[in-house]
Amino acid sequence: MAKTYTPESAEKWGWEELVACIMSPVSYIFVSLGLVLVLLERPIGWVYLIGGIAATLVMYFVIDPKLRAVSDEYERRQAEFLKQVESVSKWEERK
Amino acid sequence: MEEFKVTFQFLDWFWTVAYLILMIGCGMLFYNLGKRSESDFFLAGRGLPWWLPATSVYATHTATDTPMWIGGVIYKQGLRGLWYTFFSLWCAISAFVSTRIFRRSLAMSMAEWQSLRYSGLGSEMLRGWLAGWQVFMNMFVLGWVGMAMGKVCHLVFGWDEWIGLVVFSSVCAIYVLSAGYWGVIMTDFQQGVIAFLVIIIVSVWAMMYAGGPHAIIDKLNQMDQAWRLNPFAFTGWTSGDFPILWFITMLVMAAVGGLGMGNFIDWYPEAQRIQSARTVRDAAYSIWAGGFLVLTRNALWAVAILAFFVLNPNITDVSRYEMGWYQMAFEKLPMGMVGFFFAAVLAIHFSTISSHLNLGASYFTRDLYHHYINPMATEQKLIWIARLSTFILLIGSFFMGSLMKDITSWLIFALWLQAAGIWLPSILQVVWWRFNAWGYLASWIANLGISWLIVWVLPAFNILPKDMPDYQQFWILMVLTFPIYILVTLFTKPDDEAHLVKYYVMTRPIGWWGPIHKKALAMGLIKE
Repeated sequence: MAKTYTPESAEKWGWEELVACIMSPVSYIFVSLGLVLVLLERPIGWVYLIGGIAATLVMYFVIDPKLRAVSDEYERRQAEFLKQVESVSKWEERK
Repeated sequence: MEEFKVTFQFLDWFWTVAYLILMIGCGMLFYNLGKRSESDFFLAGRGLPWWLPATSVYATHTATDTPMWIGGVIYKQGLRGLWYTFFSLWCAISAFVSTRIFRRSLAMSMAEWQSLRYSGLGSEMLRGWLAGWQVFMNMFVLGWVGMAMGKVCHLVFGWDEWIGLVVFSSVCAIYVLSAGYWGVIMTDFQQGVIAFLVIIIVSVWAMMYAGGPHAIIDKLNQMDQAWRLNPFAFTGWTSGDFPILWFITMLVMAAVGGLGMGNFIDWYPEAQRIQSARTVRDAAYSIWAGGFLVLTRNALWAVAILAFFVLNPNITDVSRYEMGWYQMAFEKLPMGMVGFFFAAVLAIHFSTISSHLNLGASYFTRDLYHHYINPMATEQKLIWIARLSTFILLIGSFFMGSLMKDITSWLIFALWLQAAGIWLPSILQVVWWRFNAWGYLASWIANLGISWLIVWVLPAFNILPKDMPDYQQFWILMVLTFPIYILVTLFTKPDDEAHLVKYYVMTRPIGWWGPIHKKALAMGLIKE
């Protein structure tokens, strides 16, 4: 799953975000239902719980390399962007 | 409502006092960091690792009234009641879409984001409106949660309700006034850990007290209540307490809502946590993990409430069964642990109060004072305005608390209205370059008018049924408001192109941004 992103490719929305956006709610729902059912000693709870944990892992391994790349690329320009935000707040942009 | 039978011994008081000293002391420790700048007072200098804002998301959304609300739906609905709490699902999508975009905007608040996304008079009107609305809403939440603490103190100690509101909100304000968001986030971490630990202890204890998992299931079977163990116990497509169409509406609204910004009231505290994270990646994980912890907590509460149900199955008074979790803890925990539990209740309370005191003050300071009144204010002056506005919010919350019974139904209507008619425009403003400030303003106004029609006026004239379910109202509102804000958007000028290009280069939003993308390419600001 390891992949190297260029600054340009990291900025684009792609299949990684799609997978994360599908796996993430599945993880929330399955872990939550799984936990309550496991505590009540319902066997189906283990299916939900393991499914939820698997979805979480898939999500993490797909999206994390890209998130790291996006973060690294963005941080290089953050100081410049922050000045821009302050200038809007202080009305300097429109002078 | 029946009073609890709670007796505090020396050890219980010890836990309570020790906890208060720990929290205030911890908050005060960060006094010097909090006063460095506006960014420190409201965002802890934008440098936090993901797990700090994540525990803060979880702790903030674990308020004194939360176990009452969740206790109520689980007692009434069984495990299917868990779906009522799944509106947090928006965090699952938002973490990888709108959180990323918002973090990149660097806006200190959602109101400030309006100035970055939109241009001209419309953007300023939106910023002013959202800032004012948020100052008011935070004051309301402080009053609401404070009154819930007042009720708990009334049940435990027999105090008048206002005492619990005033005393514990004031104690909490000490460290918020001193250290701002630094105090909030550092205490939230400890409060989150303490609260989670106690929720686990009480849930396991309650389950054991009811005879263990098998005994709970056996009793439910004997009572012919086994459906309570099924999270998918639907009552038909549109009929009964748990219709399939409600379920679908809730899932769509929550999950797809994660693409937008500002479509849920919870977005506003989350926005502050997103900006306090040190990187885009940290921001994404903080929101994801915060939502995950909230849902895990709900699952633990659900077990305790099922145990409460089999022990007390015939309660019809909502105000009594809503207190089920508190009752299980205060009555069933052993001596000495009751004080530990009360300390955890204080943790739950403080985490919410501190967050909303600081959040409301941020809208007043950054968006009203700094932007409109004194754009050239020094950092020192801004910190004092931040403290003054925190104090005003505290006093205002006492006033709100005293009015709570009179205004609650109106405010719930306002909150519900925000979730319904603003839902789609809040997504459009993120994903569609052409959607402008006038369209978003029009959606707020149209929503207000049409909500009145659908909820009150048309049912009064028997044009719509009086007992129309809320999910049906949601879809009707969506359909009726849609043409209004779309037409307003299309008949008014697009936002200034140069302004949109700046926003695009900074945030790289998802969706339909083709013309702006091309312009940014042509200007050499981005590469294909």
